[in-house]
Amino acid sequence: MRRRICIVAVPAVLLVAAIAWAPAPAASQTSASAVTFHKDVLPVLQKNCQSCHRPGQIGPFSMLTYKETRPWAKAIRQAVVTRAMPPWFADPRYGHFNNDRSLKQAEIDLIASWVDAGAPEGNPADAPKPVEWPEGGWQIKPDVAFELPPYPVPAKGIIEWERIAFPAPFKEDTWVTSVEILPSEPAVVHHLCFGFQKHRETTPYGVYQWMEVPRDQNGNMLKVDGTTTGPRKGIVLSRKAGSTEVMRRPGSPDFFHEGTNEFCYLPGLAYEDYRPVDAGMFVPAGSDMIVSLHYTTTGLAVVDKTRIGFTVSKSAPKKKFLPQDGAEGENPPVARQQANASLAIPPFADNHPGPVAMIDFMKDVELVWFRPHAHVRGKSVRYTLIHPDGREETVLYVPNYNFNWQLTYRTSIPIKKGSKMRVQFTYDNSARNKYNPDPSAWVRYGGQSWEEMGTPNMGFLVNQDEDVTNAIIER
Amino acid sequence: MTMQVVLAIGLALVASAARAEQRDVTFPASDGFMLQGTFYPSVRGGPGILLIHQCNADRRSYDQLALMLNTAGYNVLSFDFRGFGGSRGGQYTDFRSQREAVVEKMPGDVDAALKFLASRNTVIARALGVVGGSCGVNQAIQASRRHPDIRTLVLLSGGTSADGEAHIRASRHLPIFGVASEEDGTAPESIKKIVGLSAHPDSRVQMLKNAGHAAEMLAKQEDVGADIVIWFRANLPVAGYGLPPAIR
Repeated sequence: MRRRICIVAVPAVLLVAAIAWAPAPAASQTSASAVTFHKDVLPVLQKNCQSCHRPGQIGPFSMLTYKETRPWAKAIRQAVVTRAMPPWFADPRYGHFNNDRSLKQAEIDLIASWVDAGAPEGNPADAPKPVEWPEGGWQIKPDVAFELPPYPVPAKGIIEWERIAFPAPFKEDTWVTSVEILPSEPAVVHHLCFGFQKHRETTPYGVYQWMEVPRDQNGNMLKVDGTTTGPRKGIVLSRKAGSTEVMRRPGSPDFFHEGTNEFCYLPGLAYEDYRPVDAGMFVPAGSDMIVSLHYTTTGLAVVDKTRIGFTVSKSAPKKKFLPQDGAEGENPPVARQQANASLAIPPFADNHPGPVAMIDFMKDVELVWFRPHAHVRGKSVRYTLIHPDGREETVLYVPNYNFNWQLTYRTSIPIKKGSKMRVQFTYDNSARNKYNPDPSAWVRYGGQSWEEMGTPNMGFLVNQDEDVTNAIIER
Repeated sequence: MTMQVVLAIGLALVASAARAEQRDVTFPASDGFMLQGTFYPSVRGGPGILLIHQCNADRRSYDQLALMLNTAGYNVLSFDFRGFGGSRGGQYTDFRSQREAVVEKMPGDVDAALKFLASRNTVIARALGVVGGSCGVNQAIQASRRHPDIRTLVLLSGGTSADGEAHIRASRHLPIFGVASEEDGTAPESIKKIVGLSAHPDSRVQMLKNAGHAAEMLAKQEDVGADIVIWFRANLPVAGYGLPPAIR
C-alpha cells in the first residue's frame, strides 16, 4: 500500500523557478527574421509551458523539442495572443503572485513573430539546457511517496464525499515541505485532499466512511444545512479498502477530516511547495493521515490509483504552515454554515452573488496562497482585505473562475492582527455558461458539482514559535 | 520549410509520443456487412472521436489527424464506408458505379461505427465527437440527430439537408467547427451557412486559401490538424468537467 523511495536531488521545481526569474526577452531585442525556436522561443516554453506540455502531463502535445512543437505553432500563437494559455485567471490589476505563469507582452510578441516568420528552427546549439523533469509524471521529485488503495469508480451514480485514514508515511517527526497528488484517472476526481492529525483510538485505518445523504431524483440534497459531507448524525456507511461490502449503522462518523484542506488535488491544481519560502508543515511521529475523497462518475468505469509525493525535512524550516480549517472541522463556523444554507441561485441568473465569507485575523500572519473553490457555475471571486484601520484592499480578483483550472495563487501578504478578509463569489446559472448542466434549475449549496459552494481556502505562514491557537476565525 | 517536411515532422511527433497501439478492426453493420476501420485507443479512458471520410477518399486520408487526436488523449476510430478502402466486398466493390446503393447504407454504417467506438472499454460513451469531410458532413450532422451523446462536430467542406439545417438550428449544446477553402466551389458557402445556423455561441468557421477539399486541407495546410485538436480539447475535454456527472 505504501512505499518509501530514495531521495534527493536538486528539485526540478526550483530549477524551473530559477528559470522563471530570468528576465523576459524584450520585443525590441528581436526582429521577426531573427527569432528562432532554439534561441528565443524554447526558453519561454521551458519557463511557462513544459510543466504541462510534456509526455504524461495534461497538455495535448509536447513542447520539449522543435519537432514536437512545430506542428502546433499556429495553435500556440492563437492561444498565447488571446491569453487562453498559459491558464491564469487573476486580474492583473490586483495583487502580486509569485507563481504567475501568464506571459509578458514581450513574450507573446516574440512567439507571434516566430510563427509569423514561418516558425524557423534556428541553430540547436543556441538552445538552453533541457529542463530535467522528475520521472514518473511528478512535478516535484518526492522524497517519500504514498499510494492510496485502488479506488473503483463506477460508470454511473452519485458518489458522496468519503474519508479514509492511514498512518502517516513518516516514521519520525517530519516537516513536509512540498506535496503533489497524482490521480491516475483525473477525469473522475472532483477533489482529493488530506491533512494530518494526532491518532485517536477510535480512528480506523483503511476504511472508507461517509454519510448517507438523502437526495431527490436529480441528485440534489433534500436537506441543505450548509455542510458538504452530509449530516453529522444519521446513517454512517463504510467499506474496507479492497472490499465491495458496504456496512450501515446509525450514528456519527468515527472521524472527521478537520484540516484536510491542508493539501489538495483539484482539477488544474499542480502541487503545493513551501520550499521557496523556507516553510513546512510539522507532522509529529505517529500522526494519522486523513484523506477526503470526492470522486465523480463520467459514464466510464475506471479504477483510480492515486499517488501522493512529499518532499520532507528533518529540521525545522524558518516558518510553519497554518491551514485555514475548513467547514467540517470540530469547531465548524456556524454562521458560515447558516449562510451557505441560504445559497439559492435562481434559474438563468447570470451574476448571482453568494453569501459573503468573513475571516477574522486574531494574530499577525503572512498570507501565502489563495485557492478559491466553487463548482461549475462559479463565475468570479474577490478577496478584499480589510485592514485594522478600516481601509479596504482587493488582494485577489478572479473575474473568470474556471472549475477545470483551480489554480493556487501564491503571494506574500503580511496581515496584521485585527484585519479581516471578505470573500465574495458570484455564480453564472445562465445558458451562456458552457459548463452549466441545467440553467433552468434552482441551485443550492452542496458538495456535488451540480450543487454549488464558494470556499475561500487560504494558506498562511507564521514563525516557528508562534502560538497559533485561534489565530484565524472564519465566521 | 516545405509542406512535406512539416508533415514528416508531424508524423514523427505523433509516432514517437506515448500512446497505445493503433489496430485495424472490423465490425458489422446492421445488415451484417463487415466494415473495416482503424481504432486508436487512448492510454487513459476518455472521449471517442469518429472520423467520417469523404466520397473521393477513404479512412487513410485521416491517418495523421487520427494520430494527433490520439496523442492528445482521445480514442479515435476511422472507418471505410462499404465500397471504399478495406470495406470492399460482396456486392459493394466500387463506390463510383454503386453510388446510390452505398449512399443509402451510409447512415447505418455510421451507426455501426459509433456503436463499435462507444463499446470500447476506454471510451466514455456519452462523450463523443465526429469529424466529417465533404459527403461525410451531412452524415456527421445526421448522426448527431440520432445520437445525443455526440457533443461536438468538426465539418470539412460540405453541406447538409433541410432536416440537417433544422437540427443545427435547434442544437444549443452542439458547438461546430467548420473549415473550408475559399476556392473550393460551393463548400465555403455551405460551411458558412451551417455554422451560421448553429445555436451554439462558440461555433466558428475557418476559411483557408488554396487548401483543397475536405481532408486534402489537412495535408495542404499543416495547421488545420492542430486547430482541430485544439477545438476538441476545448469542446470535448479529456479530463475535468466538460460533462455533467453520470448520475443515472
